[in-house]
Amino acid sequence: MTTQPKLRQLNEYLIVARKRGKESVTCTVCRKEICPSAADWRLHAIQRKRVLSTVVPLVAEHPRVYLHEYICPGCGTMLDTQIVLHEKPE
Amino acid sequence: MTTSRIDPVTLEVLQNKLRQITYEGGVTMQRTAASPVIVEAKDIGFNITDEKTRTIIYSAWNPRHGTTTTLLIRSVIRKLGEDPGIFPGDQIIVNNPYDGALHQPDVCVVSPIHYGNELIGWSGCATHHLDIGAAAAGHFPQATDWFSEGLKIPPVKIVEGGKLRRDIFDLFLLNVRVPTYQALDLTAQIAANNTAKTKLLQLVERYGLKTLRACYDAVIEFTEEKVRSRISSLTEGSYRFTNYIDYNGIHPLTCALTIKGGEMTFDFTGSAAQVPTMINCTFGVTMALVHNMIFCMLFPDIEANEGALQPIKVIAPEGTIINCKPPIACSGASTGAAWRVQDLVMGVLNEVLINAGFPEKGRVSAAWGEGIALTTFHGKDRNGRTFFMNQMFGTMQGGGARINKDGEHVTNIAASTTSSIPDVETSEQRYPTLILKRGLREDSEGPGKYRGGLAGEVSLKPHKAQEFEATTPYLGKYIPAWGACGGYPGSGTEVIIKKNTDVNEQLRSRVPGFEELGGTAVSLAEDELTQKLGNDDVIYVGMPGGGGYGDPLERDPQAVVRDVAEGIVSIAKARNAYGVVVRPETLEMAQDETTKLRQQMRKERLASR
Repeated sequence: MTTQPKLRQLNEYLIVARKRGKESVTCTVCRKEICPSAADWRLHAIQRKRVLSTVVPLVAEHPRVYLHEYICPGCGTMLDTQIVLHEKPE
Repeated sequence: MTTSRIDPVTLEVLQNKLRQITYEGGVTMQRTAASPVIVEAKDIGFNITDEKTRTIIYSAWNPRHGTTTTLLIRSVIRKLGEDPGIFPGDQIIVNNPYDGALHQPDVCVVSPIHYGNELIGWSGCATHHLDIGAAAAGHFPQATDWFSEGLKIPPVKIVEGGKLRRDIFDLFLLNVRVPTYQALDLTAQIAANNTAKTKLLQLVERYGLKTLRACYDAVIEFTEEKVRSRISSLTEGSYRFTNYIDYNGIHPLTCALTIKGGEMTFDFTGSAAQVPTMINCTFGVTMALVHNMIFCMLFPDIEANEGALQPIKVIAPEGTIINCKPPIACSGASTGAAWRVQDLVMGVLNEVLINAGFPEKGRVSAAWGEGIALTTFHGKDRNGRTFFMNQMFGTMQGGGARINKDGEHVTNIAASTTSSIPDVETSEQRYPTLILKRGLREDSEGPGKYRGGLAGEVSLKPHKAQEFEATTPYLGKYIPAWGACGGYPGSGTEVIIKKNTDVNEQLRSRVPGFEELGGTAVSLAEDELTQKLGNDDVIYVGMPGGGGYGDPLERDPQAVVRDVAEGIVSIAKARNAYGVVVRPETLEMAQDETTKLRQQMRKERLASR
């Protein structure tokens, strides 16, 4: 495995690493380079959008409250989740 | 440098003595008050400031009262300092949120401390009173402005020259629903200030006023140096976190943090405009909750005082939920907008801390139970005596998971670890109620590599009451605690009433679970008006759980199996959220099926691209 010096940790599974002179957001589980470090990594992760109450039990149903899941395109690790209010149901 | 004027040993001794004085003030309250909110739950704030109102000891009890108590002391001086003047032996009552109180039920009594005729400091003692005379008992869920939220008290002398002012005391008691308890609670606050005054004067007698003042300067100076150094060790830059508050709609709140030059600025610009409900908070409250969180997450090892606050700037545009203008309602501030401020600060600091390395990194956390059930009960017992019950079980939120451990089950008042929940037996002894269950709420945890803590749940019924009414506003129905770094949200809050149940028949042989009861269930809206309950009716309150940390598919499967065995997680949730298959007959893991299921769940994720 190529050594990728960690420059910054973004979250549990993501670091900014330098490889061949380029800095990229990298998954620490599978070493997949997700995007250049200057980019918004969420736009380069796999995104799943689901109505929150269908994912989390014991939460009241609301058609505009979603859970956004951000998934590593290399290994399927759940990188982050966010509760988001949509302007209208999708 | 003022620090050279006092030797380090004396400084350490005096600082510990000052902290001890605030503890003793709180203990005085606990031993002389009547309300379970003070005696058992310990919702107490106790500050000491110097004569310039610099905070020397920041609430030794519930830390949420730290900043607000000092703001109230400053307001007292601003409004009464010149006319009529403040003199030895005076004590001043105040609860106006626009003067600095967290919300109207949090009544503060402030006392100047004089050595002879020379002002040498202030003490301030805040606590949550059972009632403040709003349109409904405890809180008025449908308040739109502060005129329906009860008594508003600007700074007024309640003790003058050492003598209780009977006129003001009676005015207060005439406006609240539980005067017998609240009379004792209010005098307990006065007694607490007297304790602090006596002890502080003993310090002056022993060490001298010059030394005490040198101590004040030194502790503030040392603290500021330490805090600036800590901030300088963090990565400079800008960070942002957004979340929502749900009550009469869903309202966005956002916080941008800038770290630069050893200072931090928390800017809430972009948060929703104030709303005509009780959830708004004043600017002082927003500032207080920012301070509370930075002490927890950034400086837990540094003494909390005025020095720590110097490098911290807070910006919140006027007219927003987090800096509201009168006469908008704000009696739900402490558990509404204020709680979410705490949550936003936690979210924005996570990103800073995760890059900081240990030990700072170890304080990264998913959100703690988002929301609260402000459930209170009142009416007449079997003898026709009026009762008012606030057992604070609505504060049994689950703790957020951490970067390296599961969240705590059933924390308390907005993640304050210094408070607790009154005893079940005490409740049944004091009030006409039978508590069928108070315990952990299965499946309320947010899944993760480290799971959130479970929330609590309660079901209870009136017991031989002549009248029994419930006031049930709550937050967190739609917006639960967020998970961090791939962790999932915890549960929401829920309040259900079952009318005309068979509870009394079932109680002849056993204590039934809420779900086992017959009758008609009604899930209440978050701002429902007061509900009348009969002796066959049962109310259920489920609190919100803590968010999870990390990908749930990374959780040790054996930990999930243990959670199932202990009733923390159901077999269904073990499968759906963690990808762990547990055999119902043996409660053992099906190894091969678990491996296959987890592989399948990862494949499904990848297939979503």
